Amino acid sequence: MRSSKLVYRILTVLVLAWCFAPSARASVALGTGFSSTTSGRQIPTIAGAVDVSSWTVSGFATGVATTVYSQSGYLLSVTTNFVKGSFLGEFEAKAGGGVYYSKRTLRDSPTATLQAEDSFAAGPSFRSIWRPFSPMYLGFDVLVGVRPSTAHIGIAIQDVVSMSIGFEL
Amino acid sequence: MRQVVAAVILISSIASTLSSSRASAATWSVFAGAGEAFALPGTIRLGYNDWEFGLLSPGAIGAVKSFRDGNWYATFGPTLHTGSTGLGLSTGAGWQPALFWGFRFRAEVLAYSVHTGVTKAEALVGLSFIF
Repeated sequence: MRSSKLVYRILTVLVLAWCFAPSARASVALGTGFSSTTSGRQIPTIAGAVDVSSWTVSGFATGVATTVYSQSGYLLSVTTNFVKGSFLGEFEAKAGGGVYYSKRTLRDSPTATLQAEDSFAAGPSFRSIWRPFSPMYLGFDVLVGVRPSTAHIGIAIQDVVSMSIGFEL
Repeated sequence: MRQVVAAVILISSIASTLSSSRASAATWSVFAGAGEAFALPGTIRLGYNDWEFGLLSPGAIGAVKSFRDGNWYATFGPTLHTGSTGLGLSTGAGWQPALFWGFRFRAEVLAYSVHTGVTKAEALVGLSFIF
């Protein structure tokens, strides 16, 4: 129940940002790629971003499910202009902060009881965008998340990365 | 550890020799640091002007171009993930305030994604030396 509320809130923020975007001469990006949520497997993500003035609201959603387990991850970050340059096209990086939510379920067999676990991470984030052939883009969303934990700081930190390729409108 | 220090000194010497023998204002640099496992070398790179080459983070080698704004910078470039032999791209963001004698403290988050599906980030902390 808690996870559905969070997803609903994230979607609400994205929809509101999208609704207000045109009046602020904004652009919208939509793409797909890979993420560290399922690193090592070619599980696709849906990535999106809304640019409003110098600010960007971006995020991704990904997930995988079988009869015995499932895993999903959602990132939402807000970043602002950081540095710009050129590299076979335009390159720009933005910095800010973000939150990450992940949910995992597992059962020992298809008939066993389902065990669920979810986790949060929040912290500084950055977004890199490379535009070799505008309006096509290749982007990275990176979050250095800190999870609520009393464990070793190396365990409490969770890096979240999404690489996506798409188009900016 | 001793091998890392020796490698840094060797690369520094070569770069220093090369830079002093050229009339242009080319800038060479070396960056060595630890990753999240607190093991050296998390990264060891040789830099030439805006480019850096070498071990970008544990398990990833490649070249990145730096885009600087004061002490802050971002990087972007091609990467090879040695574990899965995957080709892809990496990007990073960091902070490198000047210390002394050409040394700079350097903290960076480097992320990469390769065609085999490996997508990862690593926090790096170390020292860079600019010739």
